[in-house]
Amino acid sequence: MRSVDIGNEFSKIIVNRANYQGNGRNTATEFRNQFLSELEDIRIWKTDDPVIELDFSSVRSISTSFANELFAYYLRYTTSKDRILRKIKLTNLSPLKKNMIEREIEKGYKYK
Amino acid sequence: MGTTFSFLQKKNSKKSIHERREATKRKHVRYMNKEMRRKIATDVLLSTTGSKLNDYRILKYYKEIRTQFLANLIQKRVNQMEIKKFDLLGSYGLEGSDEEIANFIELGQQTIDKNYADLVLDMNNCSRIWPSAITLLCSLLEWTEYNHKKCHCTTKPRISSSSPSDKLVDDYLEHCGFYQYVGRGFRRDIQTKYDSVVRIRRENDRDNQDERMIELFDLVKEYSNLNEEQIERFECYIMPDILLNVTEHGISCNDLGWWVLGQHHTKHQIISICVADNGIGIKNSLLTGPQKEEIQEMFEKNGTDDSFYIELACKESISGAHNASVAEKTIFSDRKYNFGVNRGHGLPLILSNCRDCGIKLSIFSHSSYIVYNSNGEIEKKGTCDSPLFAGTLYNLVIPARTS
Repeated sequence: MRSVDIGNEFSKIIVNRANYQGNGRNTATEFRNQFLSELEDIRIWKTDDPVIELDFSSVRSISTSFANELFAYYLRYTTSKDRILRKIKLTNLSPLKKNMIEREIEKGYKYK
Repeated sequence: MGTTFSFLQKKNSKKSIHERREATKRKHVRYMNKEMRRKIATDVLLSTTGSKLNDYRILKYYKEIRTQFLANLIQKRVNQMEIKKFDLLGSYGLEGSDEEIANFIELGQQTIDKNYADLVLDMNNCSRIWPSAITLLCSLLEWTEYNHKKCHCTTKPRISSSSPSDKLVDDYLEHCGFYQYVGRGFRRDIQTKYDSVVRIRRENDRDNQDERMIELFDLVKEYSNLNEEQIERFECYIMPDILLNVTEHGISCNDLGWWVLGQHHTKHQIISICVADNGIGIKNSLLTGPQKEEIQEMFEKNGTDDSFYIELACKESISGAHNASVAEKTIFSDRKYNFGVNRGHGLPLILSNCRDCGIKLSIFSHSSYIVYNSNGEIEKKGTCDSPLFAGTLYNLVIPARTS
């Protein structure tokens, strides 16, 4: 299982959904394309085996838009929040940030 | 009396009223559009059926109509071209008492969206000007620039001020970056030292969003009375959404500006943070969004004034931001969005987290405003006949540590 230290390998401030939002940098779509491309294969979603570990220890700020775009996006492959969070293991995450990510998955992906 | 300074250093014209009238008249002649000329020509043709027309008669008739039109227009403009002096007496800002908030509202009403030839702000007897009032004055400056570029028929009002006689106020205007913002030609040494500040600066694009955010995070982390979890709420739920609002919803295709001012006030034990833009405002954003019909119906049922739109945006997950249901270019933005995007302002989350952190939140957007106290309850709200703020201002008052 791969591990990605988000704060050091990507950005400490992750607030933009896509390139049209904010300063258009360090976006959730960019992160997905760069680190989570293998999750676009629907066959991966047939099991609960973890694919990647995301380390949040150096992340200072994450927005609801980013969390929604990064995690709720995968509701197109599974309706189970738990499966998403088993496939993408989150580590060194404060309860507040964990709660934010879970709520965004529960609310659903913002694009129809 | 203080010395008069020119805020706008780009042009130093000292034309008389007569010269300005003549310049306006010449501009109106140039911009009389083709439609009007065609209409006049058609009217002439219809009124003289059967008689022989010649170019001379058409031209004569056209000149009479044009002269009358210009005379009416100039008279209207002359009536508006007054020199307005506004005395800033006392204290101004959302961070202070009810009287200071009332003064702030008065300042906005008297200065924003008025067609003055000259606006003189007499700050000689100003005893305090909080960050929110400084942000308002910066907005005024940008607004006059923007309107001058947009409407070729009006002359840009000259805005000038006298320096405050109170040295503390004068020092603060230098310290927070206001004098530099307005282009004051010289700097001087500040006698009074203030605590940390995030200096006001106009951002012309979105590039510095992260840098400004980090400056505000550090200010709050260093000086606030918030615990670790509350600081995390501020950094994840409150500040990102406010900044994304101004850089996304607030910036139209014509004006890319937004600005930020943050200040720790030791004596008052607060941190004031202002984030503002000169965009289309919350009401217009909602009424051009994908839920505009629904919102209009809600207003007709329950709304009494335009502060309803701000209140609605703070209560429910309402989507604004142009027309997100189709991909198109609108007059407010050159952006295109995918079908079905639900892209709200995030205000309910901002407000609930401000409540959890004991932060007072004020939102001023065009002619309406709401002031929420630190418990998240509405303390004041209202709508004025004229705009109070050129775009949208978010002001946060955060409790600071006792030193």
